[in-house]
Amino acid sequence: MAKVLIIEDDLFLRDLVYQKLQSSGFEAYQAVDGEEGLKKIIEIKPDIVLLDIILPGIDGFEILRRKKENPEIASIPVIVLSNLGQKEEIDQGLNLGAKDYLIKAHFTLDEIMIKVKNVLAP
Amino acid sequence: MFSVSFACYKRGTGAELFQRMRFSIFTKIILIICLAIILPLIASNYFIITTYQKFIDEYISGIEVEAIRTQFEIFQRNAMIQNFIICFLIFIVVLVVFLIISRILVRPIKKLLEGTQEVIKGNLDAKVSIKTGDELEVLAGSFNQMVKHLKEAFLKAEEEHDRTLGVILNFVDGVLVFDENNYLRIINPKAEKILQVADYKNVVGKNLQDLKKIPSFVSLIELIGEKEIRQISKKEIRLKGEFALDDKASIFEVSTVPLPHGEELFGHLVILYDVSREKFVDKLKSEFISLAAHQLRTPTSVAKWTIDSILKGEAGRATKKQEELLQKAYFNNERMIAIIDDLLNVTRIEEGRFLGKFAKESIEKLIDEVVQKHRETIKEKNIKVETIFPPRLSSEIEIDKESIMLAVDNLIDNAIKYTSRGGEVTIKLSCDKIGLKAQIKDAGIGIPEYQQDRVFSKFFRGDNAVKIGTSGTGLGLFIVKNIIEAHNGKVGFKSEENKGSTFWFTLPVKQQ
Repeated sequence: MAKVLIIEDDLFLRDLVYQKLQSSGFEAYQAVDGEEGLKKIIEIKPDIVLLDIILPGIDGFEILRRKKENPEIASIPVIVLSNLGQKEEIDQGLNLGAKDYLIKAHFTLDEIMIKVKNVLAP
Repeated sequence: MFSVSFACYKRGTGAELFQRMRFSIFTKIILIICLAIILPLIASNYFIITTYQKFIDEYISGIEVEAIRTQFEIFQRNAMIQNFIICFLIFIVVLVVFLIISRILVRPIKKLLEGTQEVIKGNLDAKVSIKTGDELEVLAGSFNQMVKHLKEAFLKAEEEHDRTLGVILNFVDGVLVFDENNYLRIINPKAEKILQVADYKNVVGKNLQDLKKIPSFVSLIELIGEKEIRQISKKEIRLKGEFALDDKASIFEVSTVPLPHGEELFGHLVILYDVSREKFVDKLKSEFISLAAHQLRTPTSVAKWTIDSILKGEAGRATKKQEELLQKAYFNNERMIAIIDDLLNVTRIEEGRFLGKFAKESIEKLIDEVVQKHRETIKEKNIKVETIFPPRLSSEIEIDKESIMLAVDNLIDNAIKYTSRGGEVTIKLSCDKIGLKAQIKDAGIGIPEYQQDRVFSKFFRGDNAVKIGTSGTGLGLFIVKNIIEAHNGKVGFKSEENKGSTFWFTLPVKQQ
């Protein structure tokens, strides 16, 4: 079973994604902020990370940057799931190594699950 | 604080005028009088001598030599005395005549001369008093009158000059005045502060090239031109300025105004208008809208995902009625998401950072993509969408794909939205050397004539569109106009209520 880590500070969103991941047959983990998220990436070494950008403390871009610098976890794919959707932000996310950049409100959970599956089994 | 170099009216010293005077009237009179002395002297001498000669000639015949000698000597002495007396008399007469002439003619002329010299030196209070009762007195009177008028005119001009200068110096915006040869003539205190000039004497009188050597002037000179002053209007520039917060540069709008004088140009006015505050407030506003919109995305996402999962039966089957209501909730949540997107786009447009990189794109492909995106609605409303492309592809056009896509999407979305079931939408593309033109024609409700001039303004919605209850933010066409104009294109429409609208836009092939 593929391990998926969701890093998201909003309780409702995190819960929804978490439950959806479980019902879609993933081993789901969650983190509420950047620090916890980074810690869990190193501990759990998930198969994929769903990452919010605006987080208390370390933000999503910083997590991407630190992940890139740490060879142990650098190869773990990340899908950004954010409210920010401006060109520069999308470019920044993709340049920092995110596999995909999704604006939350533009996708349903099912569509997000398809994206996750696509990244895991291309 | 007079940071001014006066271009004062040309005052010579007058010396060059007097250099041209080789002989004064005085010397001329003396010369004439000398002649007047010499001529009668010669004449009288001639007569005296000839008289005596005649006398001697008559005498010599018959008188003895000794007697002749004494007689001759007497004659000689007599002649000398006569001569001397005549000379003396003539001299006296001439002296008197000379004094009289000098008194009535030369002295007043000299006075006039001194008067003019005073005026030339710039003393407009000079007065010439001549009381001769003749033409010279009239001349002096006229001269005094002339000087008086001159003084009045000069004072008036000076007052006008001072007033203009006062306006410039106390102007709230920075003002620089350049002359026709592009030398800086006036810099007002505000501009001194903006450009960090310690003393106006350091900059006044310098031309553009010299000013460019001063670090605080570099960006300004680069903007207004290094050789000639370009005509620019409200170009933004960052300068350190006086109110620069935490060492940040203030933003100024620079405009240059040519100063015409009849048909000629006598210089340029450069105006620096501080827009930092406006920019700051604008930025705050944009940031607020951006923040609010981003914050709204989380709850709309939650609503979207929740309703979607209920509709998909993930929480048990809903009844038909419940499903219908949830569909409505979902649709309206989507509307909210669209409004948020539009608001974010408008903020970006207003911040002037909407456009990304320009690349060669195919408009045909782009239009097809957009039509594909709407295929479900098109199918549902049974609308016939016809696309007419020119035989040769117009792929050689440089655009920012994402924003043009948004513009085209807004136009096609409108066309489909406002066309009733079974209607027709035509998208026509034409292309020539200069650029391409896209036309999107619908058979929709049209735009009421009385509202047509506001179509592209922010938050505009047609009254008839509001009445039939179609959704819309009133931001779509505002966004379209901004995107197309940022591509140096034009946008417009023709519309008739209840018949339909045709929106068009053009894009130039080459971007400047």
